[in-house]
Amino acid sequence: MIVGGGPAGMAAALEARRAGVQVTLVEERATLGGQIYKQPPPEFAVRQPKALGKEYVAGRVVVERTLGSGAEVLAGHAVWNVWGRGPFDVAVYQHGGTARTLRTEHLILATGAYDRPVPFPGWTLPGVLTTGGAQSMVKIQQVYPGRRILMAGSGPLILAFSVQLHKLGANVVGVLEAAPQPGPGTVARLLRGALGGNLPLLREGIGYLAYLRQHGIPLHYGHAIARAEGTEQATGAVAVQVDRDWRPIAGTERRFDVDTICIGYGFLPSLEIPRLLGCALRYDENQGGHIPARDADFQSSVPGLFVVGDGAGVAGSAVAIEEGRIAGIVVARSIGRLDGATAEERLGPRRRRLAQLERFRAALATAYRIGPGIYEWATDETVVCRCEEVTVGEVRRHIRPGSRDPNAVKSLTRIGMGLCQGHNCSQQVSAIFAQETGRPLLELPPLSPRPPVRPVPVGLIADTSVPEMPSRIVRLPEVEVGDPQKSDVAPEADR
Amino acid sequence: MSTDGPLGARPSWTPPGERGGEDRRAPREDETDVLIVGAGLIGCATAYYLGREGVECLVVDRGEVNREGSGANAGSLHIQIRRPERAYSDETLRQFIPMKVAAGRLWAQIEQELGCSVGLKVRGGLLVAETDEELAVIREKVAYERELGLETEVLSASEMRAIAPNLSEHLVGGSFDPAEGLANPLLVTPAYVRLATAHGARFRIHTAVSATEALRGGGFLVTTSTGMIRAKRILNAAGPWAGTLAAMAGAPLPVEGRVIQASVTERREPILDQLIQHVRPALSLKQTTYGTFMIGGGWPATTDPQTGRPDIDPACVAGNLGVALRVLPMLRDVQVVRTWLGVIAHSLDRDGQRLQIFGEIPSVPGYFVVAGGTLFTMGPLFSRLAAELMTTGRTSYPVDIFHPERFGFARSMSRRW
Amino acid sequence: MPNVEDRRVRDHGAIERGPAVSVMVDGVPLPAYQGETLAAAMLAAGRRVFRYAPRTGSPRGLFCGMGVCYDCLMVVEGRPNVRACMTPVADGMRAETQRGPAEGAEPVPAP
Repeated sequence: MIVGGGPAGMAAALEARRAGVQVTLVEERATLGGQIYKQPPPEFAVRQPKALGKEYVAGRVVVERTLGSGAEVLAGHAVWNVWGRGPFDVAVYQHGGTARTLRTEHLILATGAYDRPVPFPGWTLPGVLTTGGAQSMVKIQQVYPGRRILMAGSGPLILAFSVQLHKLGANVVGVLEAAPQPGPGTVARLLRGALGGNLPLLREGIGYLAYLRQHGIPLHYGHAIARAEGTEQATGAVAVQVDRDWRPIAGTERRFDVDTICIGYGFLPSLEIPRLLGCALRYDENQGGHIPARDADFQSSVPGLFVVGDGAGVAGSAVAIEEGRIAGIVVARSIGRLDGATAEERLGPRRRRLAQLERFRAALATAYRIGPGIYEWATDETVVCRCEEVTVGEVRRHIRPGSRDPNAVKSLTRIGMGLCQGHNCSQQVSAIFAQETGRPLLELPPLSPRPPVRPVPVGLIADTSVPEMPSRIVRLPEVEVGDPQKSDVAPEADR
Repeated sequence: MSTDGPLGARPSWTPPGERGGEDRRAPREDETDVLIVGAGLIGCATAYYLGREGVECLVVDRGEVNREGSGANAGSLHIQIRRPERAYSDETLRQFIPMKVAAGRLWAQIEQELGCSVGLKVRGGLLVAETDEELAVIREKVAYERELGLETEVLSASEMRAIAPNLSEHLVGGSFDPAEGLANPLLVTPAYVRLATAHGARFRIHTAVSATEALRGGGFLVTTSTGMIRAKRILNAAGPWAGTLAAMAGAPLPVEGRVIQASVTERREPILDQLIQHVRPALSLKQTTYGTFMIGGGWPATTDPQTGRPDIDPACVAGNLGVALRVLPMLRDVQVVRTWLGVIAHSLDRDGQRLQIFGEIPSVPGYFVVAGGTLFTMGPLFSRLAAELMTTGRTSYPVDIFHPERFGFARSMSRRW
Repeated sequence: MPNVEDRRVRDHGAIERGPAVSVMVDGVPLPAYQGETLAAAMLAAGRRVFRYAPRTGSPRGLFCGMGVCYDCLMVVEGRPNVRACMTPVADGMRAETQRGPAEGAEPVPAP
């Protein structure tokens, strides 16, 4: 079973189908494609595919192949819980429909990533949205999110989005790039990384820069968003110069007359299911923080559970596709549908391509690393938990001296208890906690994982036929005397 | 793949089951009048009530404040008898019921006492029945409850819906106790911590007790992970671990921890003011002051076969929600946002009655214990009584039924409680 | 429809929208096209405030556009907390700006 119908998920499905494996592909949206291969709604007719960009065109091909591959595609189905370990039980539900549990021996998670939420003063105002949100609106829904747009982000994607939006007629008035202008050293590194198959990626990047210049759209290096202004909605933006660590430099503010601010500071992997199943994690800030540890076949520490694509660590769609293909081939081999030799034959080119891509990605990572100062753009008055409306200052004040666990702050302030289940605030809260307690970010557990991994209506999961609760008693695990550990009811006793 | 980033390059979060880092400070000795072990509701509230009388306290916890049973329960304020099949002798009930009534009265004024909001709603509780047999059980229960001083009354289906209009039309009736309600456990203990601190109590978290030595001449020398502590008296407020802790002082008490689960929904407009329970299948259902619905009742968790750790049981989530849905049909469209595990303490006296343990352990003078179940509802009362006992030697309510002697010592010395 | 701003992409011809429908937002009809989400129809009409948050009353709108941030919530057919960006329009659909119970909302407790 594959959860996630984006590039990684579809790639895995196609390789598995190629080997004759029975595949079920679960996707929570009504259409396949994930983020990068987003498809317009079926009710829209696409007259000029090229105008929607090459990702749409490429995506359309893959989507069609996947739909015709013989895989069972469950679109519009959201996974809300996974339990068991080989086989895995996967609980899904369909909006306005029914719920059921599917069982599988091999589970490939390709759940993708979401735009990194970056708190700064005014970020909750209508008119402030992510690049993903802007792209969905303009490219797919064909609606402009505002009249005058300031793009604020870092890396090649912010350039790509700016150009794409402008080509679709959006009024992009400026771009803020937090990283400094690439110096000769960086350029050399990028060129080296681009050699060996990655030149097209570099050419693209250069093309974007040229487009912006051509259309008079100013690109401000070393600048970040300082605040959004407005009361009912955004009516202006203030940018500020930042140092190499992305810390704002006092006295360098400049105002932009815009009603829309589009933020693109990278992505965070959707990790709910791996964490729910207890996958071992490691820390990589540039790939989105805590990510699952995987072996060379992208199997996690839980046997039979593979995590691929941006959902395992943000590395882009080209990487996602190769990872998906590898996982698909490996699963086919472990089921016995592919013999070792054929599997190796298929795996070889994928691994080589990945190594190629990794060189460019590593070069990009050094050029466009997330500056730690990003966590300092919010002030004490800035809301950090959007759902429960809790500010940075309120979180700070509730961190008890000696505390080791951000989950304790959650219980005091309600952060992470809203509908978004911590997506918007988890990262920043950990950063605040790290700052206040002096514990390094990478040592802090993220907010505790519990089902449901998506809010799900009571009616879809309730079983009204159960006459009484089971009489079993689950006792606490044995206590190690003198062990100053976290809760036995592990890894948390939260609400 | 590279792990380098500006914030470090080491492997991070260790998977559940492994030890986290400890503070390795040089052992040092600390002194206090009363050492309170357990920073849950009992520990923190007693620290306040003692502090108010000028008694110096140090509260330690091997974890953090309010993170175990006290912080993970669903916030129900239980007064009326909800499990009529549980065996209690009349004598026991005659002492027990007035305590429950007193506990309810304390809760009613708790926000004034604590000086802040704790999400309190005391608009009564309904114990509902879906069948005539169930209603008959309720009638019988209400009859003897009233004899013993509880102000419960049996309501017909229409009377119930006059109070709580959204309850299912399939319910046939129930018992109403005006003293029941709900509060937010996440706010109550921290409020007591503030007050206790204002009265001089100290708190040390991540401090685990590993040995307790009663000293000749009185007092105790306690070994902890952050150093030795000398205390004149000890209050064992360690919840489900109270038994293990008491064993270190030579008095293992039969307290068992049981892992249960609950769920909570998104916020909705306020439509339910009462605590709702069911007389037969376990259910507690309430709408908090935030507008969220909390669904619980003691449904058990399950055990992860690979790690041996407790885990959410999806079948129990479904069953628990099923009962809630039968009772409050509008929940159908309401989204569940979170489930979590909690732990309840369970203790049976020598007659098999489920009661709290309260008092000074006769064989260990100066060692006091407050442990057992339903200590959220009974928490503020027992904490007051503990402070009374420790300062005056007496309590304003008879507490013989809770005396540690009635609980003997654990028959089997197995550590797997 | 008269007097309703239209921020739709019109001049590129890349796509052809589905049939025209109408959705009622706070009792006012908004033009929409089958296949659009409620969020798109709102933004197309220049309506960027979808709700007022329960505790502080702060205005909220579209943020992530992909259903993970739960900010674009509206009351749809009487049901609150519905993500407008994940809700396809239907002819005659009724939606309202969501207002939480801001008075009496629990404050974050002081430490």
